[in-house]
Amino acid sequence: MSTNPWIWIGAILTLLVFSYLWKENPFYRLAEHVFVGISVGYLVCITWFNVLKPKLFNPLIIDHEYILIIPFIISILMLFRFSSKHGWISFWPLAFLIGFSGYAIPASIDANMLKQIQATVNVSFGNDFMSILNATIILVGTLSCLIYFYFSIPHQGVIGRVAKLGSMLLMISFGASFGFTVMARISLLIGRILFLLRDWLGVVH
Amino acid sequence: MFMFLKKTVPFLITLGMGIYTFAYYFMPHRAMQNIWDQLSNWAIIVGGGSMAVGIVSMFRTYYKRSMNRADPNRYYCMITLVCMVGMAVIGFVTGIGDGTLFNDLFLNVMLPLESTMFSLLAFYIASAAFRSFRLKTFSAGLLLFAAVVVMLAQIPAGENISKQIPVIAAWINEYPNVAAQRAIMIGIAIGSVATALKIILGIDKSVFSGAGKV
Repeated sequence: MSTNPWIWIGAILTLLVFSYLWKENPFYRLAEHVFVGISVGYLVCITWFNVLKPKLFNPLIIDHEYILIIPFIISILMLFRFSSKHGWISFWPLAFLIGFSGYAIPASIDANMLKQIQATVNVSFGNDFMSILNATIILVGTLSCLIYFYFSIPHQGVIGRVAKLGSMLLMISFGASFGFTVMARISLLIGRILFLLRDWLGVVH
Repeated sequence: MFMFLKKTVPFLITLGMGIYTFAYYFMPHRAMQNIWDQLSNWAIIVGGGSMAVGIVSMFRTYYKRSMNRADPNRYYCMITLVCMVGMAVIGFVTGIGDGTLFNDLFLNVMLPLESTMFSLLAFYIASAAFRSFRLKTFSAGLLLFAAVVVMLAQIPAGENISKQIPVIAAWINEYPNVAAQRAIMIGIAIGSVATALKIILGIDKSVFSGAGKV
């Protein structure tokens, strides 16, 4: 059994969280609230040391880059959000940040639309049966899934059958995503059980 | 004048920033690049600073609940506040580097809690799947088949059952999954472009609301 106090703390917290499998209880809630508090405290420090200190505090105070007073003031304006009378002032920094979505328009069209369409229509058909089948699945599959998402026309007749094919491909995709998610969670679970048995109790090597 | 400051100024800022960032994508000129570097640096600072809104809001909420004797969860709220303030103070005093108390708390308290919380989902996701994956329709059967094959392919037992299971799982990922994911990505792109345009052109002003309610 481990003599490291940090291992004991980690093991006890792990058991407190696992106690939720029995039912919701005060031990689990204690661990849950500790987690929330620690996470927020962590985020505060990470934001200060990785963002605000190197990008605002040090250049402004040490290097005298007074232009940075502007984003500092913009940040302060955000705190007006708590005022019911002057809360509208917080819309200005918000507008500044939201304005960056202008860059997302061409970037999203390029990366998520044009590149995907290009990769779909330029699919290689090859000579053997499997290559032709796979290329057809990519081409027809993408098109049929898009038709499934197109609700401006009723899904009847040919459109309905193509949309049905699209929904089947989506089901396969969701099934695969689900399988990966479950396996990721199970590997985390194995990691925690290994921690308890190997690092804490020392019964597994 | 008040409505101009409240409604028109945020709209003009969004429109101006939107037009500039849109144009920057097509004009990577040095002057444009310099402005972009400056503005994106400011955006990171403003984004970091805006976290203060969340922290203050959370502190106020939990403090009120901690002081409310009628609240059955007041002691849990106190624990959250103590952990939050304690972690922040420790971080500011010791720094965040390797070997500090802050880093020890991160590695031995936060990470175990986080990974155990997520590992709990393994149980609930399995029981939810048991209820929802019943073979009622052909589509549900496809979902079940894909999930089972992908899961089996990732463990040694899958290959022991049949050498074809990893091959089928790889095929599902490379072809039907890619076709569906491409359609989803194209759909997301269309949606995000439409939303960005609505906000920049001032058609959707709902983002500029809710002040004073946090």
